[in-house]
Amino acid sequence: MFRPARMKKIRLLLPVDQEDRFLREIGKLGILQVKTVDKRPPGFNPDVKIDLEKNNLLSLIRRCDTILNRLPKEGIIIQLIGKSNRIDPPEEEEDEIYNNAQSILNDAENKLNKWEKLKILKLSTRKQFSLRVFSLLKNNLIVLKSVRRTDYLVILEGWVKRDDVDKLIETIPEPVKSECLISLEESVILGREVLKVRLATVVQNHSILEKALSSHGVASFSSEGGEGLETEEIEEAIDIDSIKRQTTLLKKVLLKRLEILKAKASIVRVESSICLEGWVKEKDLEKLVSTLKKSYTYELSVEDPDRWEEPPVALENPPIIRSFETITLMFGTPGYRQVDPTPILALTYAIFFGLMFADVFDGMLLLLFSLLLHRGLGSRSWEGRRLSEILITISFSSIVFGFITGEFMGGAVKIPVLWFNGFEDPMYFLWIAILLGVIQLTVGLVIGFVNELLLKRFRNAFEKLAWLMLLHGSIIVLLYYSHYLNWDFYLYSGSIIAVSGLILMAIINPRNLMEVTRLVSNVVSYTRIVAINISHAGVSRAFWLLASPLIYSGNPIVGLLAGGAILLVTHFFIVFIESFIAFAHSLRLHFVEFFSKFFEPEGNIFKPLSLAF
Amino acid sequence: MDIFTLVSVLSAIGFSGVGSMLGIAMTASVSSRMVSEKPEKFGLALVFTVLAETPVIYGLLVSLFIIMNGSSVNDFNTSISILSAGLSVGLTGLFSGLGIGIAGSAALGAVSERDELFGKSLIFTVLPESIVIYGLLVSIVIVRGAGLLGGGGIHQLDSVSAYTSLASSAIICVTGGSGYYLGKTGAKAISSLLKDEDSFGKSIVFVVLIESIAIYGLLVAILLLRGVGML
Repeated sequence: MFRPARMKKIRLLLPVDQEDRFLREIGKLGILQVKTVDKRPPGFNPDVKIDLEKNNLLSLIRRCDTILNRLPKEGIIIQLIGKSNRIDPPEEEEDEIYNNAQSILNDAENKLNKWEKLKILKLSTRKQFSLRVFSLLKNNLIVLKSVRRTDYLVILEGWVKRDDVDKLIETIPEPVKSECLISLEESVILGREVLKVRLATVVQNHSILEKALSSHGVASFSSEGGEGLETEEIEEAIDIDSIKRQTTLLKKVLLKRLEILKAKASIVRVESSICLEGWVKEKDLEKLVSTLKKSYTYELSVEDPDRWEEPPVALENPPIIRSFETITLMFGTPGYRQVDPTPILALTYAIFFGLMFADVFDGMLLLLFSLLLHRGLGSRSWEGRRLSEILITISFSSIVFGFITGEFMGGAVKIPVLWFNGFEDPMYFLWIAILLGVIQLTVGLVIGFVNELLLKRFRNAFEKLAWLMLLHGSIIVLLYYSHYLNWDFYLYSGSIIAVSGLILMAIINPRNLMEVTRLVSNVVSYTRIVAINISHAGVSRAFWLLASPLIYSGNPIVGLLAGGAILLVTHFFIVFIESFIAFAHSLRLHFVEFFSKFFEPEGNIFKPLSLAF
Repeated sequence: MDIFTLVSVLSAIGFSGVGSMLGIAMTASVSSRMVSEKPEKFGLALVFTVLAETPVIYGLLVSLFIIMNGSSVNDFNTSISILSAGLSVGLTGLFSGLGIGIAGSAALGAVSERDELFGKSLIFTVLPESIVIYGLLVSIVIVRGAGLLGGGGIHQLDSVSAYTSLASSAIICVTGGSGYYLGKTGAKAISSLLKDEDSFGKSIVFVVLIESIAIYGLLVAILLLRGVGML
């Protein structure tokens, strides 16, 4: 917490035949980031064939993506809240899937082409086809699609009405019946009333059978209906789910191989052994060593990163705030030797959002939506999981601040105000918001000061100190003139601190003087918390005014139901719009006001070799 | 309700409505084109389109404050103050809506190419919205000063308070013009994200410089209103 994980640089020598097994095993653990080898041992060179193999893999992955994009997508609601059926290729089948990659893709593409052709066929064509079959079946017992003959057998294919199946069987003469096979299937296009029928018998019985059937009416289906037939056959032959499943499995196998290949590209080798360098978290070093000890012949050396080196950054925070790392990383990755602001961001983000979106009921609705999102989107992607976790945390904050400010459905339910109500007392809230802003800016400047000390850039550290002096000196003077501080000592001390800060700033970098006004604008910017809170509470009150005459109309069923429905729908609207505004402006306060005081996104994120997709 | 109060309601909902309308029109036209090519991006398109609707929500809010409590206003000074409140949120809403529309269209273009730019594009799109938030803040202070918010009945304001409200409103409306340019620069910054995602931190500094003008306007407006005891 507060600092990225400590990293160790490793250098490993392995026999070449153990390379694949090692990379797969370490990939499952996800603890090692392979880097370019700094000092190549004599005779060791990179494998030149890797690029070719990589290009081949990339083209296969692109084909998978194209197929997956052509497949029908799930609806947006399903994507958001429907649990995904995660499929992973069984480890023992991975090689087989990879070896069959070309045939899997060709097969999927062929099937998709046919399926798309089916989609293009107009509905009217399909309708015409079914109307034609139905009209023929009105006056005939059977409609024959085809008659196929071999040397010994004849197969008649066609359609029959479900109700006429018994009649059809009775029609077949007794001696033929014993030598005749009948199969019946449901038709996709024609519905439940009509069945697909296949009659197979020996060639000698063909004329007897035809005669018997024609006495009850036989119609043949002309070539005009060809499209309809094709439609039916394609629809029955193509299983879209199976194409999706197979392509997804293949893509996962290919991605795993690509990851391993990327790692191999940084490894140097001679005929019998390989040499790799990489970064591993200090706490994971033991895991690496125990993996190696189990079944490898190896030579491992471990070093601390050099002063000039910039190791990859792995943020390490407790599970409850880990999801907020996404917000930090959205701005950039902090340097390895800098402070990780995520713990502070998690706290202040939740507070700002809670204050802007303070309402117990809306918070609960948001919590419900977040939990559904966690179930759906969270099961589909890592980003979705993190986003839903953030939403769950901030919806709790919204409920807590709803209780603190006594907001419940815009006054529809009266609950006691525990501290202050922003809507009733906006001026008091304004001061609270400015105070929060000053606190956050102070924390930002202190982090900046610490960062500069850690990087041993003392000149910059004094600059941050000067900003701190200016901010707090000015606030003391402002409080004196606002009559919150009455002793003249405060005026003099505040002025001295502020002016000293200005002088220090001018000495270090005179250009900073031009940015003094930005500090003022940063502080004033926090007043948006008040405006968004009041807008949220005001809109809720307006909707309550709309629904309350119905609820209090005296009609317990219609009034309550209609009023309740209006409240529910309008609050869904509020949760969608206002929570989004509060989310975006909390983000803005952190990115523009807070991070600008210290954050230098100069780090590289730790990307271990990982085979989990 | 006198003529000034009515004009105030008209300004609050009318100007902000025009801003939202233009903003939504800009983003919606890009959204519909994007969704026709990439139906899976419907959710993202909706987010950026809906964002332009916020100015009119704030305009609606101030209109409701005035309609609900302003019917008994018959004092000239109080009416002028209420007019200032309506103008503040209305005109800032107009500039804000325009800015959101311009930046939102660019953001949609960026997100249609690369999903991962959503968060960063969103920041540039919500920056013009700050302007209407500042306008709303000034409106709230004036409306409260006139007694339309927070209970206690309508206040009889003196002429100094009335003209100060009008001056504050004029300041926030004029500096609120930065909303339009925030949108334009935001759009450029979003397109630079497509070339280099790491430029975000530096681009935001430049874009926010424009917003500072509106913040100074807000600061002066608040100090003026505090000077006459409305805050």
